[in-house]
Amino acid sequence: MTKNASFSRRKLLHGAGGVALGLPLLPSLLSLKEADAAVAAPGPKRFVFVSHLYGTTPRNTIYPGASVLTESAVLYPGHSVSWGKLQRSVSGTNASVAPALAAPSSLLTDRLVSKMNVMRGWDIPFDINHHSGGHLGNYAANNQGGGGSADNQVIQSFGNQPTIDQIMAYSSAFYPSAVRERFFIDGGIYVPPGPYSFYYQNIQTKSGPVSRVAANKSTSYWFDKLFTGTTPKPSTPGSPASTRKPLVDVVLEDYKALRNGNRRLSAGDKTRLDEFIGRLSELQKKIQAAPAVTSANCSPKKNAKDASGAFQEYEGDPTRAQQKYAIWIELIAAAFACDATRIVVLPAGEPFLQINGDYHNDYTHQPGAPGAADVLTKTNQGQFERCILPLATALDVSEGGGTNTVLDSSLVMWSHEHGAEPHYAVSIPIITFGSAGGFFKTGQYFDFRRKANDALTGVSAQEFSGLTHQRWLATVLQSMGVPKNEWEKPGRPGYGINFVGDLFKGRYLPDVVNKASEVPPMLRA
Amino acid sequence: MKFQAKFGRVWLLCILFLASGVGACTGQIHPDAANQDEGGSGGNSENPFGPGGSSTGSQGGNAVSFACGQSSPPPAVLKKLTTRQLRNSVRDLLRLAIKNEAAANTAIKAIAPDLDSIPKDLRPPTPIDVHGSFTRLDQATQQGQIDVLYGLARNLGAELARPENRGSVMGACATDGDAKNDSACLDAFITSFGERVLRHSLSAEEVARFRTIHAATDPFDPAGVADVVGAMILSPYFLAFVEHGTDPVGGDNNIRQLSAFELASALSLHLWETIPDNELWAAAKSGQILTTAGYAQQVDRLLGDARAQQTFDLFTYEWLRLDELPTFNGLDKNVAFKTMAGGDLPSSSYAEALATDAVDVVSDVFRNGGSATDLLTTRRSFVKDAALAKIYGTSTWGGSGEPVMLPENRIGLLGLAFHLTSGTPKTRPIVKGVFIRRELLCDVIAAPPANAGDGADKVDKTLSIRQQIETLTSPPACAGCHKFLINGLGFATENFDALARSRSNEVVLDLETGKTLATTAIDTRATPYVVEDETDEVAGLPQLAEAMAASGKVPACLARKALRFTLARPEDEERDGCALESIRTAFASSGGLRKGWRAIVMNPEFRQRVFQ
Repeated sequence: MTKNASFSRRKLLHGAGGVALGLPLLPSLLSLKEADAAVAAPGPKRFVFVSHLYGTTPRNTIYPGASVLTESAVLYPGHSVSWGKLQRSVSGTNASVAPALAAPSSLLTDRLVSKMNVMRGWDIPFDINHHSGGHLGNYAANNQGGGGSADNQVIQSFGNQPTIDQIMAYSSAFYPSAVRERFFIDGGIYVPPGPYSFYYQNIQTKSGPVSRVAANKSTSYWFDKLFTGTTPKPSTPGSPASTRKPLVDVVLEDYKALRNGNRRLSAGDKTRLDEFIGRLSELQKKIQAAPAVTSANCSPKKNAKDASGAFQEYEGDPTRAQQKYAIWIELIAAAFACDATRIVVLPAGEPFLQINGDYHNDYTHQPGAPGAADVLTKTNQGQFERCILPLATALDVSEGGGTNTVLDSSLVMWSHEHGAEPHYAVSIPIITFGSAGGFFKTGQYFDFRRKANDALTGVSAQEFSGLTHQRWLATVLQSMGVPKNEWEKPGRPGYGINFVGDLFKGRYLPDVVNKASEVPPMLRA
Repeated sequence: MKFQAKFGRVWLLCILFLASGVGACTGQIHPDAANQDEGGSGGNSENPFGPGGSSTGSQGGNAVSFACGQSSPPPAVLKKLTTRQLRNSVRDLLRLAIKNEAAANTAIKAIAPDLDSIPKDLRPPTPIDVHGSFTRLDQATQQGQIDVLYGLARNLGAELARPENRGSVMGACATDGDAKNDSACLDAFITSFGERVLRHSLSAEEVARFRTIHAATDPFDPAGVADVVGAMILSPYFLAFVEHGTDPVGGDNNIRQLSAFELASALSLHLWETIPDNELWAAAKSGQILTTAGYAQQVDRLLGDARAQQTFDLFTYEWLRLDELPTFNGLDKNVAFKTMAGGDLPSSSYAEALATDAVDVVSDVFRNGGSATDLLTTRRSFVKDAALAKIYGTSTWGGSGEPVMLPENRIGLLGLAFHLTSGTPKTRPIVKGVFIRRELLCDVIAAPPANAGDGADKVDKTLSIRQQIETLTSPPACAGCHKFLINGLGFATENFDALARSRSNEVVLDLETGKTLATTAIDTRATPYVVEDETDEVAGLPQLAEAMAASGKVPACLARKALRFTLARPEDEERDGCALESIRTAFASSGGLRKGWRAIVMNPEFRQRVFQ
C-alpha cells in the first residue's frame, strides 16, 4: 500500500495500459522514469520581444551600480567581463534594482528579480541610425534606405535579413509539431520603416526576397486567429465533408497547375506563385494538423475591449497606455497557456509618462537638456513598471503542475533602439526575464564592456566597446533551441551580418567578432 | 546609379535631422570623416546639386524632363490585388451574383467581418521612399492574408449557396423544378460567374475542373456550390493580376499586348479599384476594348465615374502622407501645447479634417482642369470643419456652390493646415522642408549621420525656431543638406504657427511650463534652391510657390509618383522614360492633372506586358 500510495495518477494510468485505452502519445505511455521527468519538465520554450522606441537611456540610470559586479572572467585575452547578483532595494512601498528599473515592491518582488537579467554592453557595431530592423536582426531596415553612410552601404549590400523571431517560427526545432499560429506581432507604434519582423517570401524553401512580416495592432484580430482558427462560419450544409476534397487542397493544386503549366509567365511570375504556394501549404498544415486549444489552464476569453486605439507615441496618457498593454498581456498569457503560439513581438511606444513637448525631438535628441535625463529615465521606468513587469508577472504561473512556470520556460526580452546617445546603438540596454527553460543563469547584472579598452570616443563618449549585438541574437536563438545550421551563414559568425563599421574598427578584439556565434559562458545556467 | 555617378559624393554627404523640429549635427563624427572622398558620413557645405549636375535625368529626383529612349520597360512580376481592390471586388461580385439588392446587402453584411480582417497593406520602404512608398507597392504575400482569404472564400461561398439565393444566383433553371436542366444550370453558373471572378472566359477544361470541385450529385448542393465559389475566390486569377499576354509587340516575343480581358481588368482595377463592370466586360468580350477608339471610350467613361475620383483621392492621400498626420490625442495634457493653442485646441478628430481639406483641394484642381503647378497656387478651399475654418480665417464651405477663397498669403498646398500643423507646440521647418523636397520635388535626401542632434541642448531656447535651426545646422557637416535642400523650403512658411494660424511674430515657449520665454520677429526670407542653380531669395510662401511652379519639377515629380502608384513598383527612369515623359507633359499642361491621370492608362506601357 505504501508503495502504491506513492504512485501518481499518471503512473497508475501507465500501469493500466495507456495503449489499451487507445490514447495517442500521452505521458501515460512513457516509462515510469520518463513520466517522472515529464512532470518536472519545463514547458515549451517561448519568446517575447518588447521594444522601447528610440532609446536614449541616460547612462547608468537603467543599470545597477558597479558594486553589484562581484565576479569577473576573461572572455578573451584583453576582454574581461564582469557580473553579479542583482540587488533589490526597498524603500517604503517601492523597490528597485536601478533608477529606471523601479516599481512598487508588490510588483518588483524578490522572486521576479531572481528571474531577471540586466545586460550592458551589447553593441550594434556600425552606423545604423534610426532603425526598426536592428532589434531582431534585419539591420538593413533603417532610416537611411539605400543611401546614407558608408556603413549603411555595406549593410544594404547584404540586403534584408530574416529576423530571429521568424527563424524560430519556421524552425522545426522550435516548433516540432503544428501550432495554431507561429507568432503574433502587434502593429502598434514603430519608428520608420516599420515593424521589426522580416522573413523569406518563400517560406517553404526559405529563400528568395526577404520582406517585412505583417503586424496587426488589434488584439481582437489576434484572438480570433489564435483561438477561433480558420473554420468558416456558419458551416455550409450539404454533402458530407467526408466526400469532399478539402478546399485548400483543391486550391493548392490550381496554383501548382498554373505555376508548372505551359501558359506564358515571366520568371518573376513563377517566383511569386511559389510564394503563394508556400503560404497555401502552410494554411493546409494549419487546417489539417493544428491542435485544438484545450488544456487544463486554457480557457481563453476575449476581452471586450480591443487594444488598437489610435495612439501616438508619448501622447501623454499613461493610464490609457497601461490599459492597452493589460489587454495585450492578457492575450499573451492566454496564448501561452493554450500553446496557441510561442512567439510574440510587441513594440511599446506609447506614453508611460505625461510629457510636455515632443518626446523624440525635445528629449531623446537632447539628453543633455535640462530635465531631459529625468524624462528619459521616467519613460523607461514607466514602461518597466506598466508593461514589462506586468507581463513577467502574468507569465510567472505554474504549468504542468510543478513549480516550473511559463516564465521559466520563456525568454522575455526588452531592448531599446539605441544606447545612451541618440542615434548610436552602442551598449543597448537589454533586460530579460525567464531562463529559456534553464538555458540562462538569471538574477544577474552582466557588464560585457571591455573596460580596459579606450572609450568609444567619437561614437559614444564615455562608453566602452562591448560584445556585438549579432552575438546576442545568436545567443537567443541557441537558447530557444534553434541549431546554428538553421541560421549561421558560412564565414559569418553571429546572427545576420558580421560587420564592423568604419567608426568602430579596431574597437573589438578579433575573437569578439570571429566567435560571435558563441554564447558567453557566464550567461549559461 | 546614374544619379550617384553625378552627385555621388555630395549626396552621400548630405545630412538631415529627419523628424526633427530642432536638430543638428556637429561637424566631424570621426577624425577621418572630413577626408573621405566617397561615402563618408561627414559632410561639407558644398551645394548638394553638385558641380556639373544636370536638371534632367537624375534617378530619384531633380529631373524636370525624362528621356524617351529605346529600351523597354522592366519585366513584369505578378502583382496581387490590394486589400482595397479585394474588398471592392468581392462586394461587386456579390452584387453581380445576387441581383436582389437587399439580399446582396445581407450577404455583404454577413461577410463584412472577413473583409475587415484582410490585413491592411503597408507602405513598403524603397530606396527612394525610405519611409515607405504607396501601399500598392506592398506586394509581400502574408500568411495572415491567405488565412483570412480562405475564411472569406468559404463564407462567401456559403452565402451564395444559400437556398434563398439560389434563383437569383443561378437563374430560373435552378428553381423551375425541371431536374433535366439542373446540370446545365450549374455549368452555366460556373461559366458566367466564373468569368467575372477569374476575369477571363473559362475554357471547357476549367468548367470541368470546377464541376469536379463541386463533387456532389445534386447540382445545387450548397456545400458543392460553396466550394466552387471558394475555389474561384482563392484562385490566382482572382487574387492576382495573372497576365499571359497575346501578340508580340514590334516583333519582340518578350513584349506582349495584354488580352482584352487582361486589359479591362487592369484598367478597372487601377481606375476604380474593383473588377470591370458589365459594360467594360462587354467591351472586353467583344474585343472592342482592343481598338483605339473603343479603348479611349472606356477610359473616358471610367474616368468620368465617381470611383475614378475616389482612386485619385486615394493617390493624393498617400502622396501627401495624410495617414501620417499627428493624432492630436492627449495634447490637452501638454502644457506648452495648450498655451500655444489657446482657444484652438484641436480635437482628436482634427487630423481627419486636415486630411479631408487637403484631398478636397487637390480633387478640385483635378476636377476643374488644373495643372500640377496649380496645386501650388490655388486658393480655392472646401473647408468643412469649423475649427479649421477658424484657423484659416474663413467661413466653412456650405457643401455646394463656389468654394471658399483662402487669404492671399495662404496659397496652394503649402498654405494648407496639413502641411503647417506640427502636432507639437513648435513649428517644424525641417519637417516642412523635407516634405517639399521629397514629395513635391522628388529630390533625394540622405539620412542624417548618427550624431545629428548633438548640441541641440546647448542652443539658446529663447531664439526663434528658425534661429535655433540655423545655429544647429550651420556646421559644414549639416549645412550641405540643410542649407541647400531643407531649411529654406521650411523657413518660407514660418509666418504660420504650429497650428497653421497666420502670425506676425513668434512666441517662444518653455516646453515644460508653457511660459513665454521670448517674442521674436518672423523672417520668411529664404533661398530655397528649388533647382540647383537657382539662388534667388524668396520673401515667403507666394514667391516660393512661384519658384516651384517655374522650376518644372513638380509635374515631373508627380509623374514619378503617379506611375509608381499605377504600376505598383518603383519607376525605372531609363526604362520607363517614355511613359514618364508623356505623363509629365500632360501634368504640366492646361487641364493637366486629369490629362496626366488619363495619360497613364493611354500609355502603351499600361497596355503591354514584358516577359523575360
